[in-house]
Amino acid sequence: MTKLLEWLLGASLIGMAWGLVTFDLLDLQLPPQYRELAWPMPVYLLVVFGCYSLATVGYRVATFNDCEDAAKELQAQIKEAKEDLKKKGLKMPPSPVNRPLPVCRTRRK
Amino acid sequence: MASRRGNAKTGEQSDKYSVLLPTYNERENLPLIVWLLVKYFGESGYNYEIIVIDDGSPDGTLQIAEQLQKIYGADKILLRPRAKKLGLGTAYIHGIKHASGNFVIIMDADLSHHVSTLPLKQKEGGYDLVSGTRYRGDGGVYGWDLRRKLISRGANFVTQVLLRPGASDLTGSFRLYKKEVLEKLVEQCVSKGYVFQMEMIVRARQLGYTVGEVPISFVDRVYGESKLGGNEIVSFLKGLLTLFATT
Repeated sequence: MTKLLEWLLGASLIGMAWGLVTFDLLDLQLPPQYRELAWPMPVYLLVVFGCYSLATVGYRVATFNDCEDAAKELQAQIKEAKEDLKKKGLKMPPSPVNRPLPVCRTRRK
Repeated sequence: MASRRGNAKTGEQSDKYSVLLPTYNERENLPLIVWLLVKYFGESGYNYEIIVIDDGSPDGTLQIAEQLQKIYGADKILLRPRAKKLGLGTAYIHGIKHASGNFVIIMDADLSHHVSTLPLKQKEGGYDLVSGTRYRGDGGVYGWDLRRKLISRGANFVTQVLLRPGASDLTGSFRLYKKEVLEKLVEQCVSKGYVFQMEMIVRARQLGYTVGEVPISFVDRVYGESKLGGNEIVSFLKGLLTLFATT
């Protein structure tokens, strides 16, 4: 089953349960508190999910690692690599016009 | 799935890692990547080969690759070029045909950090697939502004909710596969570009393969910042929804 079908199935099941309770489709004569509770549930759940999403993404952005050390190490290795390769006889063909050079620039923004 | 290679000691002797490097206009990056790979594999003692699959780069990448082959030996650097730019999936298929290793490592042209973490992790858990992640452990990025981080984490969150892929970072392409696993997956995957990378992991989980993760530090080397504009976001969402509907 594809994810889409899983979601459709899940949504249908929940939708049916919600409809059953809210609109009393099976004529179960449930106490009014059940209906009052069930009625706003979809919106309520969406809001809860929305808040959860914002909080999760916010947290993850805040804790997104910045690899200063890795960048420094890589820059040093690039230098070492270029020197070593030159020693071993690597010759770079003439650069085509307007080609950017591989420099690790410090970002400004 | 436990490794079927038997005793760890004898296993290490017979494990060989084939690194596939599809290249297009990478004449400046290629020597650096190869140098780093040779360095890390040399230090780790693993048996390896590097297969350069150049798609007819007009900037002379193939000539650079030939020089590297002279420097490091034709047993370590294999050249399997193609006439023109034919896409990632077919590059992998092409590369696998010539790979003599039992493990295949795939990496982007600008990401070559500590390649030995991949075999290490694989041996740890006998995984069918090991994927680099920027989002777990001490993985991370360098030089990203808030906007880019937000988009990245936001997109990843949507992906996790919709696809529940069992891996924290789907769009990375720093991975190790058992060769037969890669063959099977490439057969099954139909997307293009980076969505193809995402599809590989999703299908891997569906087929019951085990996926391990290693943290990676993602450092943009060549292009300052990749443009994460409206177009990229739209095409990402399109790819994501396609995977949602078809896997």
